[in-house]
Amino acid sequence: MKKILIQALVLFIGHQAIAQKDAAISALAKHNLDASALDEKLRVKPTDYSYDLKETVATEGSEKVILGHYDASKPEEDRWTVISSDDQEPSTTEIKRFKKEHGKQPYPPAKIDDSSYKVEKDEPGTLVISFKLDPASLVADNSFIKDCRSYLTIDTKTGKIIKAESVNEKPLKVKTFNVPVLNSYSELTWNETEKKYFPKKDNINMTIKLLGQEVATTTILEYSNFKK
Amino acid sequence: MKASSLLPSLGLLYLCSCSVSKTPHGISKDAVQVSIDLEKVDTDRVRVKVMPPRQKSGTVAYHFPKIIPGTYAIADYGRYIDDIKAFKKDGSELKITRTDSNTIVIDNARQLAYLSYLVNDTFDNETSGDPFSEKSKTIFSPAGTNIDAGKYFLLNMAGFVGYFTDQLEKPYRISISHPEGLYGTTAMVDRDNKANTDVFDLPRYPEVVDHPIMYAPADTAAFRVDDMQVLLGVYSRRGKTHASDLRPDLEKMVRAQKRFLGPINDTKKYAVLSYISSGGDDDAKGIGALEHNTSTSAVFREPMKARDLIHVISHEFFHTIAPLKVHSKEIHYFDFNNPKMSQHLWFYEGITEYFSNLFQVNQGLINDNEFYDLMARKIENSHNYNDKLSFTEMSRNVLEPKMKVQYPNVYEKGALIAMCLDIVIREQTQGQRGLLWLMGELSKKYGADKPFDDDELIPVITQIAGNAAGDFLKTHVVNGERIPYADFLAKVGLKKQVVPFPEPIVFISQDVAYIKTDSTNTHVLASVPDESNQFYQNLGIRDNDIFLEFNGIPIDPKDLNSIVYLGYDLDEGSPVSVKVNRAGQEIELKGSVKLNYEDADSFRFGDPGRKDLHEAWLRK
Ligand SMILES: [Zn+2]
Repeated sequence: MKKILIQALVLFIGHQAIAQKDAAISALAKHNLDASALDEKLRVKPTDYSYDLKETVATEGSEKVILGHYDASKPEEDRWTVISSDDQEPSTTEIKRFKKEHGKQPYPPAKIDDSSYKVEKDEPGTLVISFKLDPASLVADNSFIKDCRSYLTIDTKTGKIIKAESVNEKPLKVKTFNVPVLNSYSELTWNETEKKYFPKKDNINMTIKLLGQEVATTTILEYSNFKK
Repeated sequence: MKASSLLPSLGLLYLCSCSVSKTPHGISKDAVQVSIDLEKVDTDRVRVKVMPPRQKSGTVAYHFPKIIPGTYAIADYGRYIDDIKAFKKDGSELKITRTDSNTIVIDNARQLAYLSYLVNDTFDNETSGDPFSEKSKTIFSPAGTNIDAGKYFLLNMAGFVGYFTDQLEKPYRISISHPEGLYGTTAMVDRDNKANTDVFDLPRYPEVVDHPIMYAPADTAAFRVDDMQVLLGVYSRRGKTHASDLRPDLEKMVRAQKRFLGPINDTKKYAVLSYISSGGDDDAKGIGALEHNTSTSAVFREPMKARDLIHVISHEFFHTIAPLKVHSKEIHYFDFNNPKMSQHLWFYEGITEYFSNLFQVNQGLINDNEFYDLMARKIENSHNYNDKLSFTEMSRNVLEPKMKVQYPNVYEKGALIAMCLDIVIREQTQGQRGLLWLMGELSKKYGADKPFDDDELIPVITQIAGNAAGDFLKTHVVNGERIPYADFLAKVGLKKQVVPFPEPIVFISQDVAYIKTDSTNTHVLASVPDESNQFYQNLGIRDNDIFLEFNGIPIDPKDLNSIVYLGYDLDEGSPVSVKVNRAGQEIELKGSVKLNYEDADSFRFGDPGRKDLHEAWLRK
């Protein structure tokens, strides 16, 4: 028996869809729920810090773990090193893909559509608000985010965001491809010395539909060892 | 069966028994007699009648297979059976109990005259999930069934015919009445000469399942390679592809395969049943093929190229060695409802896949570098699966949902295991012998009717091919230790090298999508943000060109992504035409395919001291 799968497409769309996470988080900077805690001090990828990144991509039950290191002291094009892929020496293809994906320039910050605000949950200790982004503030490459809603979970005792989430409200088109499910959440930590949010963990779930087949993937990004 | 005047070749006479005048022989009283009516289709369902031989016990069950050989996934064909009833001789009904979707228990079996039921097709019931995903229940299309009244029928027999408990060894007579205009492609021999009925006799139930038949308007090609007859039947939903288009390449390939295999292959006839799906939502989605002893049922997608057929058939035909000629008891005494899986998928699928690549370089269909690149791609792809998993363990448990997802690695790592084993044997014998020799020895020791014990395969290989071969299998196949491919390839003089590989889809290059949709989502437009897409530059495709047709196939506004498939796996230099609408004007852009390339790891020959072993590996 033999079957044919178009793996290349799955990878390609996965790569594009990660924009959901980035754009939703970049929007946080513009969010003024607690101006002193958020504001422009929110930096999701601190480019002046070195750190380790563990990327786990699971497609249909198969898993691949890539370890990378970001060295802020190096010239921009040399900052990423791919250390291993499933404990093995990474291949040229894996290195290229990882560097491209994580070395991407962030999208220009998007604006929140003020009319879209909702308080989802208001309980002692926890506040969850949601919003959508203003389509006019998105660029062609991340325009699909207009169909997603973002959720922020805030610890009301500290006034800090602990989780940022984004969920698609209807099937998406990423480039020309159909993505019935795309949701991501990011866990953040507040760094008191820097007065900044640092990323802790991103989790992106996606289902792609192509050529009559659906393929589900999960990408987990774990950040550690932040050093200046 | 009807011999149509469209049949292109005299060679067909040997295969298509329809032209041989015969009357049905008498049939043993012990036979299970099945009649299948393809003429009176009842809302996409086909009526089947089964007359059992006289039943000796009071209670008997009739079973549809839970699984069939070669698929490695639960199918539950009984799910597609409706309105099943049992009757006595006088026409009155007998009580039955359906204990699960596959099992029908008949209480007073001694009085059973016949069973009657309706069969639904599986193509119509495919869900959009990947049939190899953990939870999928979809039957892989090449193992499925299709009922399209008056036009097309695919009968993978497991979907139409079952067996009575402990009566798998009884002979079967299968009579099929079909519309006169449809021609049946199969490796079976028709026992009668009527235009609208076919009668097939098969010695046992596993043989029934092993013989698919496809009814379609005559579109066939036939040829002879040495003493083997090959029959190709094609049905294309869109009517775009014909057997005559595919025949030259198929023939060239089968000839090369036969030359490569030599006397180890003694197949007398081989039928290729090709269904070409429109790719629509209501059509077959499982692209690929399923091997049988004397045929293969394959499902392609439009636009189908001769190359697609070659990819698939080169693999399926090599199954005539493993598992068809050398296999374990798990396969020989296949339990259709409580299957035990063999631990040697690396052997059945891996060696088959490796040979389907090796023979191409061996026979000069591709050059050495192309062969290294194929192997290098398999190394890269194998990293998408669990690389530390014992392959024998995976194999034994492949029906478990968690393990099912590892299955496709049999085509990647499985083939690489075979490659390394081949290199080990070459090294040990100073190039004199290789994996094909080992397969010849094994098929002499065993054979189609003499299975091996699953546990004895590796010890026997060790005995025949030596300790180095045995150690390799124990370490890397049984214990699942990673394979240092570069070390094995160094034995035959190869060194790691980064080389350009063609990107698979011309619409995506270096992670940039060169297509977009318009705001109404009814058109696909070219997106040309830069000049680096060589395919576009070469044809002169410009930004905002609306794609209308690609190689003569119109772009479906309901499924814009279908264009992606049209630009997938194209051949460098092959002719291409793209019709676009540019600012209100229709333009046809014609030229040859220029692919985009991206660097990736491969190997190149670089050790003259290993030349002899290298030559033996690729050319002996
Ligand atoms: Zn196979």
